[in-house]
Amino acid sequence: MPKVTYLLPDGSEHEFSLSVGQSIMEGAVSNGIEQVLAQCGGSAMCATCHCYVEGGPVEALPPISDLENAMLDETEAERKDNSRLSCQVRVTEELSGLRVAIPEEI
Amino acid sequence: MLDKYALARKDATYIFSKVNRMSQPSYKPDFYSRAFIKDAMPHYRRMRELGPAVWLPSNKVWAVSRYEDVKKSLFNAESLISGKGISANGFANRLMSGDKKITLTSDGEDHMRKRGVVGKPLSKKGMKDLSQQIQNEADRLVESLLARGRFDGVRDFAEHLPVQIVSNLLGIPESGRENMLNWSTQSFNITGSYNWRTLRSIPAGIQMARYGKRINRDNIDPNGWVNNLYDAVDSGVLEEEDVPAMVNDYMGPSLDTTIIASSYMLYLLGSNPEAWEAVRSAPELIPNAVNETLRMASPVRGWCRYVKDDVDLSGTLIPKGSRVLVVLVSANYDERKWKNPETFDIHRNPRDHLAFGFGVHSCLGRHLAQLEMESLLRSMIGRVSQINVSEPKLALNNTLRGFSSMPVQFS
Repeated sequence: MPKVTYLLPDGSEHEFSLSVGQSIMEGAVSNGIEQVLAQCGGSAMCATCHCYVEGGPVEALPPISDLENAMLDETEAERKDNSRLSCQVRVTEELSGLRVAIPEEI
Repeated sequence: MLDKYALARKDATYIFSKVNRMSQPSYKPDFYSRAFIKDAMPHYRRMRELGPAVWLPSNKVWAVSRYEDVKKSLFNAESLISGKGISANGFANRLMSGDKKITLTSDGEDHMRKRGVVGKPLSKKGMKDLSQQIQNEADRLVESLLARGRFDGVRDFAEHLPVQIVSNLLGIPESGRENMLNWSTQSFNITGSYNWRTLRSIPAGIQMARYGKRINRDNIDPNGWVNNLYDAVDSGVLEEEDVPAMVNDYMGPSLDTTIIASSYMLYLLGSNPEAWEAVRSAPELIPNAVNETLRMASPVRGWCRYVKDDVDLSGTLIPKGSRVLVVLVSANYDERKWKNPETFDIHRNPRDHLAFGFGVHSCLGRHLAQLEMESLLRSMIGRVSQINVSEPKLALNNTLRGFSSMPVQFS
């Protein structure tokens, strides 16, 4: 099972094994990372699952869709080059080892 | 060709649903009755205790009232759809499931497209441009209320920003706009089961629809939010005929809900002076105050969904063809989720409350509501040391829960 590491605003790191097909957001929510609000439940409509990809196999990330791109302009924390909506990134074996940071303001 | 098994299947579904209902918990009180609305908390508690989904024979819906199950139900918008109406009565559901649907009662792709258009001016970014204007108006309001002494926490305090500012932002014709608050209040009655309040709301619904039909490109403010719908027509995203109904996506929910939440905030801070003291000395507690208020206020009691496919909700089977009533307010008081849910705790920040719903249909105006509430608090912090509230009067509405009046004094 692919592993994803979440870096939280308090400096802590949490590594979880996710199932293939699960989104990074679902991985966070199901493992009790309350920082990720995901108010729209994963339909790229609220920008409250914003994360920064900090390392790992970034080349294996899926491309940013128009919908995600538009929503990323709405994030509370500053949009950076490595910004993604974690609900729009589904985990594959190739993505194992991905590291994502959750912003303080989400 | 006639499907000879169709009848048999229908019978089987019917019998099955009967059996299912018999074996599932049911709760007799009428969710939309005066007695229920007046003292609702014990009812919600009882419904949560009974199970993940409880059959309400008086309303002929399955009520979902635990936090996790409410969240799951709203997330499952593919099986629990809005396109056949979100009411507990057939009349309103037929009205809502016509050809020209508003965003609230659309599904799938159609919904995503409409939601994208309606939500455009309501984004966080859009709110940044508005924040100064709203803050200035809130400052003026609080100063005038302080000078006045006693005032009404609903009419004089909570209604001010939505009625003065938000209805202007929509940019809709002046004539008739004074009815907007009454129309929207009544439109929340129409989603209940058949009762006196539901029936009485119909004329207002008709007037509101007529007003919507009178709106056209020439009588709206080109910089207003409604004009945004016409821009979407021009770019081919919407059809011209979509617009009159979709004006209600802005008019309907932008007033009462925020008015209720803002007056409830005053009520909670007035009844918990130590919490107000804490916010005054640590303004970083403003988000806590707002979210804890939203959790406890839960202005929308709940709405229904149509069950398109059989749904297994935490072990309870809800048969296809029935309706589910998703009780947001109960989720926000679920003791499985919240510690001391009936206590206003200024030191918690319940950002995952469900007052705005959850999932694809979650409230589009959330950032605006939060901005209005935060602005009011910021205006009060430097000016108001004490909030004295007297016993508020509960408003009777099928879908909204809140106060109709509340005497308040700032000092």
